[in-house]
Amino acid sequence: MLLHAIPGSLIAALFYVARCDGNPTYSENVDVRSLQDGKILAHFTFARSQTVPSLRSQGLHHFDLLPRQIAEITQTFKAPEWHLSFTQGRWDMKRWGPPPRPAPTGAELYAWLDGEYDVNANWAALASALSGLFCASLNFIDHSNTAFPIDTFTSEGSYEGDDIHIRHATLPREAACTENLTPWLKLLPCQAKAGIAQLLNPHRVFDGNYHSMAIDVRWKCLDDSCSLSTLEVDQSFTAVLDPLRSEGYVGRSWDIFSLFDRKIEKRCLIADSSTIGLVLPDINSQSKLLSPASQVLPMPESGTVRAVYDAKGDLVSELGVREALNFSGTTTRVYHKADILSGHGQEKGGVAIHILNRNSNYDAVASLLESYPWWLRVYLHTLKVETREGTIVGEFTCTSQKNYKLTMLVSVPSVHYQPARDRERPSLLYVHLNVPANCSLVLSFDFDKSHLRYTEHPPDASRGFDLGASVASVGMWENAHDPSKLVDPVLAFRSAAHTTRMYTDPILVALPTPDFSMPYNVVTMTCTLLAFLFGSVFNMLTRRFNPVVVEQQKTETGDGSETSER
Amino acid sequence: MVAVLQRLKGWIQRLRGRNSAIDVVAVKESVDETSSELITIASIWIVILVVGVPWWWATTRVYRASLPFDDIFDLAEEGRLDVSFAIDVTLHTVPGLARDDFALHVSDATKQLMDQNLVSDIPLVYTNGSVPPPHTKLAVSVHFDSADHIGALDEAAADPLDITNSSLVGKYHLYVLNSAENSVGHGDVTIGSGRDIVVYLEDPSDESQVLRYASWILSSIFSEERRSLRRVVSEEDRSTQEHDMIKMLPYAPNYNVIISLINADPNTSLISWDIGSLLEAHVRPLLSSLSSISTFSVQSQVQYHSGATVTPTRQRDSADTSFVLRPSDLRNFINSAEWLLSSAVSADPPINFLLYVPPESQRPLRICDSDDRVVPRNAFLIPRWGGVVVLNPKLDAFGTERTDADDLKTHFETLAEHLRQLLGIQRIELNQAMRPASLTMRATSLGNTDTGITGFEFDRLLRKRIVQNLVNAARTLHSLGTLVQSMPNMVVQDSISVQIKDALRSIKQTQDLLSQTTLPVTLSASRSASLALTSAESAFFDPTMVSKLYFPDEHRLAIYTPFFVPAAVSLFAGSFKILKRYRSRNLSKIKME
Repeated sequence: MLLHAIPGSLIAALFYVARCDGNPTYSENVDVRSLQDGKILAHFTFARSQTVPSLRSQGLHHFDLLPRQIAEITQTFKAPEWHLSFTQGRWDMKRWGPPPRPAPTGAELYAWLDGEYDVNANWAALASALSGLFCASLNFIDHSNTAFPIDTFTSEGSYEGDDIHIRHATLPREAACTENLTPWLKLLPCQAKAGIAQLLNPHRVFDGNYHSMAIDVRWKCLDDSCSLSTLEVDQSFTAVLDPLRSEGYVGRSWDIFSLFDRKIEKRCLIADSSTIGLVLPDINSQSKLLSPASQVLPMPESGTVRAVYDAKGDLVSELGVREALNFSGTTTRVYHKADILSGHGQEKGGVAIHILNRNSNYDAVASLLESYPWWLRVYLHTLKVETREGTIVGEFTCTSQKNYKLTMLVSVPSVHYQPARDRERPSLLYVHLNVPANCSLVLSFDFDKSHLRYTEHPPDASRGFDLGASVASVGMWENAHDPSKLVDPVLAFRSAAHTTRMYTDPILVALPTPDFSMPYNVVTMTCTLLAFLFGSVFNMLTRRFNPVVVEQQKTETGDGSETSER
Repeated sequence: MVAVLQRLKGWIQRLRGRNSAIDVVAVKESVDETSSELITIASIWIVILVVGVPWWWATTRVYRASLPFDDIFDLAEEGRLDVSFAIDVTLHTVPGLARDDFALHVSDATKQLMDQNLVSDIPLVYTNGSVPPPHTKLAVSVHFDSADHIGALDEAAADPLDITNSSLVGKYHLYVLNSAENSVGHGDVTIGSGRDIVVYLEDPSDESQVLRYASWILSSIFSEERRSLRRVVSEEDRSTQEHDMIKMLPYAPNYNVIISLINADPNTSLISWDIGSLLEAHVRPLLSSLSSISTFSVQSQVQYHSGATVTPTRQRDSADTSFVLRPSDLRNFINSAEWLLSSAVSADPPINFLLYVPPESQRPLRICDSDDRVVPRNAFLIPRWGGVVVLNPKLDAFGTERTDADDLKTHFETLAEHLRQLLGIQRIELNQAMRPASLTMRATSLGNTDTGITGFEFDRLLRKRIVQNLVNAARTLHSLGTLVQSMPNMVVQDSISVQIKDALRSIKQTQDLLSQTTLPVTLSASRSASLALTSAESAFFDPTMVSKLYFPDEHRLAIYTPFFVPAAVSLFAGSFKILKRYRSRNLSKIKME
C-alpha cells in the first residue's frame, strides 16, 4: 500500500520531465449546478494547450496531448481559429440564465482563415474535413449558406498577419447524436476510458433537455513576430438533465454518478488537473453537500460558490446535494427572444425578433446578425424597429423618459444589408441597436418565399425548411449611460465592456411544395399532345377524300356509293 | 416532299370546293393519285428513319468522350511492355588483365550463366485477356576503365556515395583484390554499401579464376533481380507469391508515415520519447534517399488508455509469468475503433507504426511464432499496413516502470527494418545454393548505416518500381477500356480522355527513356512510369465514372413511349391501308386486263 503512494508522486514528477517539449498542458473539469426549475446543468471542459511553431511554417508533426487530426486540419487549411458545435434542445434563457457556451440548435461552424491562402477553398475543405471527422453533414456548408459577419464574433486568438477572414455557417437541421459524440470523445487524451469523461454516458446525456458538444481551436501568438504560438484546443460538453427522470433521485437529493449512471473508475493522471465542481448558491449551503469538498471557492462574477473535488485523487462514491438549492433569480440581464414567424400561406411571411433589456438602469447595445437563405426574399423597406411604449411587455415597462431615445434609435443608420443572390449567397442583415433600460424592442420585416427547383427540395419536402438561429451579441455598459450622449450604436457596441452572444431558436418555414410526380405528368402530357398532332397531320396527308357520287338509276354497289371517306 | 406538298394543296382545294357547296364532279381514281399517296407515305417514313430516329438517338444518348481504344488494347499485346535495363559494370583488376577482350569474356560468361538460371525462374501468372506480364531484360556489359588502376578502391569506398545521384544509377564496380595483402581468406566477397563489390582472390592475376568469380557474382546478383522483377509483374496469386512481395506496399507518389505510441496504461507507466531525434537518426535518412521515388510525410502521436482488442494468453513458466500473443491473435490486434490512426486531411496511403505498451496486467507481453518461440525483437509486421513493436517497460530501482533511450533505439531500428520491407527494399545477397562447387566463397553484405539503403538496393528498388508501375498503369488502362466498352451507358467526360492520353504518353516516354543507351535516364524513367500510373488510376477512380443517375436504354424508351406508341399506331395503320389499296388496285388492273 505504501509503495502505491510513492509511484504516484514520482509519476507526477516524471510528467513534467516528459512534457518539456513544447510544454503541453491538459486540464479537465466539470461544473454541475441546479437550475431554477430543478434541472441539473453539467458543463464539461477539456482544455489543452501547447507551444508550437507558427501556423505558416507547418512545423508541427509530433503530437502528445494535442489531437493530431485537429492540428492537421488547422495547419492544412490555414484556419488559425475555428469553433464547431453540435446542439440539440432548447436553452431556456429565462429560467436557466446564459448558457456556459452559447450555441445554436443544430451545427454551427465559424472560422478565421488566413487570407494569404485561398480562403473560400480552405473554408469548404475545412467543413468537409470536419464533416468526415465528426460523422456530421457539415459538407452541406457551401457558399449558399456561408455568411461573413462583421463584429458579431470576436476572435479569441492572435495570428501572424492581419489578413484574416471570418466565415460563419449554421446547419439548423443537423441532429447531434452518438455518432458525433464517439469521435468527439476519441479526441480526448484519456478518451472516455479515464477521468471525468467517463461520466459522458450517451444514454443519459442525449436523454436530457439540452445537450451541446463543442470544440474550439485557436492559435495565439506569443511574441510580435509570431515565430512561436500557443495552440489551444478546448472541448466542451453542456448537458441539462432532469433528475426526476434518473433512478437515483430520492427526495430532493441528487448525485452525479447516478445522474449519469456511470462511475469514475479510472483516474486520468496525464491531466494536469482533473476536477469536479458543484456550484452552490452561497457558502452556507455547504451543509447540503453529500460529501465534503476538498476546496470551496467563491465565484465573484455570479456571487455563487464552487465546491471542488479532485478527480485525480480518491473519489468518494457519492457527489451531489441533499436538498434543493435556491439560486436567487437568473443573472440574465438582456435577452434575445425567439424569432417569431408571421404571415400565413406559402407565399409571404415575416419575422419578428424580440430583444428585452430587463435591467432597470443600464442600457445595452446589441449587434444582430440575421442570415437568411436565398430562397427567402427579404424586403428591407419593411424593416421596422418598434417598442411597446408605455405598454407592459412581460413584467417590464418601457418608462416614458426614455421615449426620446427610442425615436433616435430608429433614425440611426446602423443597418448593414447584403442582398441574397439566388443559389449563390444568403442575405445578410446586420443591425446595431441601442436597447434602452427596461425596454423591449421588436425588430420585424417581411419576406417572400421563392419557388425552388424540383431537385432542390429535400426528401421530406412537406416538413418545411429550417431557418438558422439569429445571433445577437449584446454589449452592456458598466455604468449608467448618459442618454444625451447616445451615439452611433456601431461605435457604442465596439466600445461596450462585456459582450455576450445569444442565439434564438430555429424556425420552420413552409415553402410551396410542388407535386413531385409532375415531371412524369408533363412527359406523358407532352407526348400525348405530340402524338395527337402527329396523328392528325399524318391522317390529313394520307386520308383520301372522295365525294359521294350519287348516280341515279344505277344500283351498282361499289366504291364511293355510301362512304365519303376511306 | 414535292409530292407531299402537291397532295396537301390538292386536298385543301378540294376541301375549299366542298365548303363552297359547288356540285362536285366525280373524281375518278387516277393512277397519279395512288402513286402520290405512296410517295407521301414513303417520304414520311424516310423523314422518320433518316432524320427523326438518329436525331432522337443523338439528343438522348449520354456523353462519351472518344478514347484511344486501339492504343489501350495494344498494351495487351505480348512483348509490348518489355523493357531492358542497361547494367554497366566496371571491372577493376591487376593492370595485366585490363584488356578489352577479357572484359568481353566476362560479359559473355555472365550472360551465359544468367541464361542458365533462366530455367529456374518462376513462372509468370496472369489471367487471360489482360495485360500479360512483360519480360524484363538486364543487359550486363562489363568493361575496364582505361584511366583506372587498382589503387582506386580506397577512393571509391571513401566516397560519400550519394546513392540517389542519378548519374550513378546502374553503374557498378567490381574489384578483384589480393586476399593475402588484405589479410582475408580466398574467395571472400564484400558487397559494399554503395555500388561496389570486392572479391578477394589468392592470385588476382589468374585469368580463369577472375573470370569464373566475376561472372558468377554478377550473374548471381542480377539473376536474383530478374526473379524479383518477374514476381513484381505476376498477378496476385498467394500460392506462388513470395513473402516479400506480399509485404510490399502498392506504389504511391506520397505516403503518410504515422508513428503512434499506444500507451494502454499511462497511470502505471509513462513513456517519454524524444521522437524528433529518434526519427532523425533511424527513419529520416532512409526516407530522404527514397524521395526520388516517393515522398513521405512523417507524423507521430501518443494515444493513451486504449489497449489492443485481443487478450493475450497467460503463460506460466517456472520462473515468471508472461503473456503471449500467437500469430492467430495478431490478425485482430489493431484496435481501429479506438486508435486514431487515419488522417483527416490526406488521401495518401498511410504506413502505420505502433509502439505498443501493454497494460500492467498483461506484462510482460511476448509475441510468439507458430512454433511457440518468442520472436527475437518482440515485433511483427502487418503486410501492406505497417509494423507493431511491443514495448515492455522495465522496473527501475524505485519500482517505477521506465523505458530507456537505448530500448527505444532498438525499437526504432526494428521499425526502420519494417519500413524497408514494406517499401520493397531487398537485401542483396549471393545465392549460395546455386554456386558451383568449385568456387569457394564467403559473402558478406554491408548495409549502409548512414542512409539505411545501399546503392545496389536502391537501384533494384528503382527498377522494380519502374516495371511495376508500367505494368500496373497498362493493366489499369486496359481494364478501364474494357469497362467503358462493356457499358455503353457510362458517361465518359473529356477529362478522363485527357488523363488516359497522358497515361499512354507517359508509358511511351518511359519506354523511350529506357531504350536510350545513355544511363542517367533511369530516374526520369521512374518518374514518368509513376506519372503513368497516377494518371491511369485517377482516370479509373474518377468520381464522374460512377454516375449517380444511370439510365439504361429501357428507361430512355419508356419515357418516350407515350409518344411513340400512338404515333406508331397511326403510322402503321395508315401505311397498311395505303399499301392494301395499292395492291387491290393493281389486282383489279390485272383482272381488268
